[in-house]
Amino acid sequence: MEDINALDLLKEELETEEIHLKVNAIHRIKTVILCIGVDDTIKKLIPFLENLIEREDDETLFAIAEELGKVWELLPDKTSFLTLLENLAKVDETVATKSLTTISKALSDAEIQNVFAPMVIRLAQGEWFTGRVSSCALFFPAYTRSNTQKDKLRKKFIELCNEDTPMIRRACASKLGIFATQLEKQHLIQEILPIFKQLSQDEQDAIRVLCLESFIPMAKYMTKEENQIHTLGTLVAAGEDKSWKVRLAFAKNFAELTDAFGKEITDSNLIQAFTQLLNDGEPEVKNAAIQSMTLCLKNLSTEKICNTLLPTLQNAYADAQTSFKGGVANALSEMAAIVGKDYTVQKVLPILMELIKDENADVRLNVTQGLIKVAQIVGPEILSPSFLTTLTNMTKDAQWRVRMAVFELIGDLSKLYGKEVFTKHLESIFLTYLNNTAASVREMGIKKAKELAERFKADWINSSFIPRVIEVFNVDKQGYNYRMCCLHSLQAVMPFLSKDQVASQVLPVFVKAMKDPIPNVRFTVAKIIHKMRSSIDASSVSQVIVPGLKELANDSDRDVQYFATVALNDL
Amino acid sequence: MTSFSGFQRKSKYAFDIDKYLELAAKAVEDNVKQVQSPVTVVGDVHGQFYDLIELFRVGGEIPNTNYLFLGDYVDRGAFSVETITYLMLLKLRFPLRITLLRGNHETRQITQVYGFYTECIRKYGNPTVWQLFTDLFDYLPIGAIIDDRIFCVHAGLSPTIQHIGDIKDIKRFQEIPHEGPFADLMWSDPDTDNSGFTLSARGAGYMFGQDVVNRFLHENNMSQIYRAHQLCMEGYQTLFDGKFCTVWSAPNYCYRFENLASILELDEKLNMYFNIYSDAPENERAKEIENSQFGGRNDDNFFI
Repeated sequence: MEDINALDLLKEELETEEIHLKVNAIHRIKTVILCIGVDDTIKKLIPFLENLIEREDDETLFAIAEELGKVWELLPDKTSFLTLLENLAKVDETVATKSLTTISKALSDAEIQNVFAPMVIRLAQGEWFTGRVSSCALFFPAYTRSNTQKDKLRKKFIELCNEDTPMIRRACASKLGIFATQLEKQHLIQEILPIFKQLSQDEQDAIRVLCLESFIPMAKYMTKEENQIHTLGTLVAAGEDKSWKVRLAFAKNFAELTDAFGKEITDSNLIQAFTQLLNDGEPEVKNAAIQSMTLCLKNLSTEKICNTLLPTLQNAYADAQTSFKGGVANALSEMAAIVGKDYTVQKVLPILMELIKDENADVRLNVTQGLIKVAQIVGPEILSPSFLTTLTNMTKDAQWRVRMAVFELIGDLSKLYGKEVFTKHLESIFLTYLNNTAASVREMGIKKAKELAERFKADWINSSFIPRVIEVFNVDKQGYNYRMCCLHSLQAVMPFLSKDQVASQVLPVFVKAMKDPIPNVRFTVAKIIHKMRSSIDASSVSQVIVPGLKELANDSDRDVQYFATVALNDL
Repeated sequence: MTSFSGFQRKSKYAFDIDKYLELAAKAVEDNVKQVQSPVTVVGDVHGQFYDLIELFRVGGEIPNTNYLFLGDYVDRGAFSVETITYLMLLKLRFPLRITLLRGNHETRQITQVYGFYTECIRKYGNPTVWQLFTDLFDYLPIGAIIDDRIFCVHAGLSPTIQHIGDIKDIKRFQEIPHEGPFADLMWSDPDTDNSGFTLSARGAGYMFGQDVVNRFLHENNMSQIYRAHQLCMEGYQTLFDGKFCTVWSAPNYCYRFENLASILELDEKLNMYFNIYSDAPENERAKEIENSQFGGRNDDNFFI
């Protein structure tokens, strides 16, 4: 009784005019199949769905194709839905092929050879161009196991590549690459590569673009020698294509292409085409080129970078857009590790020092964030007076994110170069974080102070850092935000002090803070004490801390009361 | 108060709003709230949620920093729901550390025209949440006084208000009227060219000159007025020998004016610092998602 109802129910639900209700009904096909069983699915459901293809709207058909990709496992014969999907593929080029590809993985070799491959060929020579487009996506899953059908499949595919209809050539171009990776090498070189060359010169720029993108899996499949002989010319031509979209695809994918071709060929042949793109008339192409450049530096020789790339960059960035300049900054930072110290100091660093003063904040930010990589190569010499002056000025940059990046840089430089260099050149600039007007900048300072404390240890903390913090804390006209920054700074370094040191250096400040006129300071110190209670020795706790907190528990401000009480409960 | 039975809950925050209403009803604040320095004063935010987050990155998080918001949390920006919800949550969690005043956009009429109502329908599927919020707005105080010295209000002054006591007499638990003292405080603007009160082009409230400001400050023994309500390209504006300050906290207003924003940081000695910032980078990504193929479907998930 129930079995019949499930299918009838589906039929009823599909009578409605509302598309989204129909789609919802379709998504319950799994339940219907489970209810009515295998036999009725084959005898009744599939024919019913077949009929729908004539009259239903696209959305419903998409839903059917999608569902079939999920429910095919329910039937013992994995090819049961293939005919239905084949007919759906004649109508739509996207969803049906996905489901077909999914099913193909579960088919046996015999089924591929005898059922699936012939289906692909049928679609490829069918009347409907949608079907022919669909077939393009199916050559890849079909080929490897189709044995006797292999020749036919290859021939069909090449026929499709020669079709008049651009849509079909487009579909071929986009699937050409992965299809090629399934072929035996001699077939690839003799049959596919000529077609690839042909499509790379197609009059439609969209097809030329797809060829380029499609090329990447193919290039990886071939050896470097094979690439040099057969595909290099095509590729270089793409870099000079008259359509900016093709040049853009070339620029975007350049890094992957260099991986496929290897260092030598990149250096001798590809780099020429690429450097031209850095001066391209289209800003999008330029930007893509500079982004890719950073990724492909490892495939270039130092000589090429210095003599070809860098001069090009120097000219290209003069009045370029922000994103380009940002890309230049990134590329230069990566370059340092490859070209070595001398070259970096002479050629790379000057450009960066100019970009760091750019009127656009994003460029300044990019440079600052990349400088640590340069610093690793150059060493402490980078801290020339002019460099330090620039850094100092940037701690007052109008954009707080730039200021934050500067303090992060200073912190990282200090860790890199060690305590002596830090004390001599960087410490005074670094400590200005305590007075910076943006909360996030102060927080970065605190974060870096903690890292420095871990590196330089108690000696520096006690003799240098804490006295400076206390100095700032005691400034009379300082606002409450700054006093809290001092407290958090002390909190950051407490883990690296002995309990005695905490008692003598830090606790006096906390005691003073507990009597601060501003409630925010009072509850901040209560929170800090609570969090860092394991760093405070027992006698200080009982004699100094607890009495102070008890007073705060009776504070006039409710937030102070709350945080003090929480702290007391755990002490 | 609006009932919410039969309410189709699309987000778990929606039914928390009635809790805010309960609490607001219980812990009613005065028409003019006493605020202690130090405090950071914030102007119009107008639904620019990412810029609100940016503001906290600059000025410090609550509860460490105290805040006084001068109204206009909703309308115009794309995230009014998130903005007002977040501020309400902060107010619930740290009532002593944040004060929220009412602006001219915290009304049923204005929010139906300038975006908040539409946004609520889009994100919740029905008007109940909007009804709850606009009920809540009736409870927001009208003004604040910092340290008995600085008068803070959303817009400006009124010809029918000479003393602070006059404001305390206003019955505020209602929709802002079209005219009268309540309307004036929410709509008026300063006038650098004329003295006294003159008609306003906004159609509500008045324009008032420096003499009005001086008289008001003198009568009430105060030193300054802080307000918002008017766009400032530099993020802030001071008039009348520093006695009258406008704070504007919506950078790149409506995502096209390319203005700066500021928050006015007042320390315990009443030193003023206009901390200036521009719009948050997250706005770029948010715009991309809005404009993408499925725009309108993904933005439901930002906060809910």
